[in-house]
Amino acid sequence: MTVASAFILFFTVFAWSRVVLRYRDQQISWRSLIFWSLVWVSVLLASFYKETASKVSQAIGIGRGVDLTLFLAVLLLLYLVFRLYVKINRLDKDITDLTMKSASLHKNPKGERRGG
Amino acid sequence: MSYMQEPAVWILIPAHNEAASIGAVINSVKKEGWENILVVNDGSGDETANIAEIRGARVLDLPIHRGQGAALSVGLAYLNKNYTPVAIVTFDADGQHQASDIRKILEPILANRADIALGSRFLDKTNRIPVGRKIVLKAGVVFTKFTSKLNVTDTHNGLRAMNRIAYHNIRLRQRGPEHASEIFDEIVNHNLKYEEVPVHITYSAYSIAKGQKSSNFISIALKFLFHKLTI
Repeated sequence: MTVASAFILFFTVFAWSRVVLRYRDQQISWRSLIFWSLVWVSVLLASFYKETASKVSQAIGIGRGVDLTLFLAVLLLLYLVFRLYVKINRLDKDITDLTMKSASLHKNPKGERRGG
Repeated sequence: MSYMQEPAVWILIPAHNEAASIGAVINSVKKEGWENILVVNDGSGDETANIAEIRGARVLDLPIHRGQGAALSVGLAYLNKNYTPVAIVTFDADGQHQASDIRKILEPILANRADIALGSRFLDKTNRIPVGRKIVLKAGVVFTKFTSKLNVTDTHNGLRAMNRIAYHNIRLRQRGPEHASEIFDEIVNHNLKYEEVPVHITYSAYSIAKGQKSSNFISIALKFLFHKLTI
């Protein structure tokens, strides 16, 4: 086992354990558990079966196995950033809508209303 | 002039942490004869709301700070629902606007020449605009010409007047300062008649400190464009 493979194995096991913990805490759905498990298992397989990964890469015209991994990683990151962006925007809008609906006439500390 | 006493004109002032200036601003507006003042307290952590109420304004509280665009939206919706005034004038809380300009900004609305009147500091040649701010504001004008195809001279001026058609139709989806650019899109979308009015801006140390930093304008423009492209 090379140093790089050992590092990938260590990191992948760590990352996957976080996924399982978040699932146990009910912070992610079973769909997310399967999705992220597939991601990390794929990374692990690509790092241990380099030749097979290279063959797959060449077959689809990307070159080396590591290039295919990076290519897929960038695509995945872009997609996740987009999802996060949409989600943050929706949350921000929801907070604004909720705040606007909660607007109320001011009560001074003595509870009296003046003005207007 | 008779329309100065127009009872159905409301002055809408969005305010966030403006305890130092809001009292004087309300006093100056009342001194000009405008009694209907709505302050939208945008989640201030200071005495803004209490001071505004003591000075005789009606005050709406937002529980948390959401930005000037959100505060204006709330104020416009509240006035539309409860008073349906002939005109609403939006006015900054930091003391940079002159209460005497309210009469000027209302003139095109009450004379039925425009649906929305936009204050322009560049049309008032007595304004002494700091060079850095001038460059950024001019860039904003070019930006607006590019995004909304409108020929205006000042795009980030909070002093505006709207008639019923305008405030009923304008929807601000941008909660922050980007709403200033969004208003021009809304003018185009609803085919509103607009007119620019020369207004005076006082650049005090306080209003400069409270106002948008010049460096923020790039982020405002990017946010506006991103919102326009993606939502």
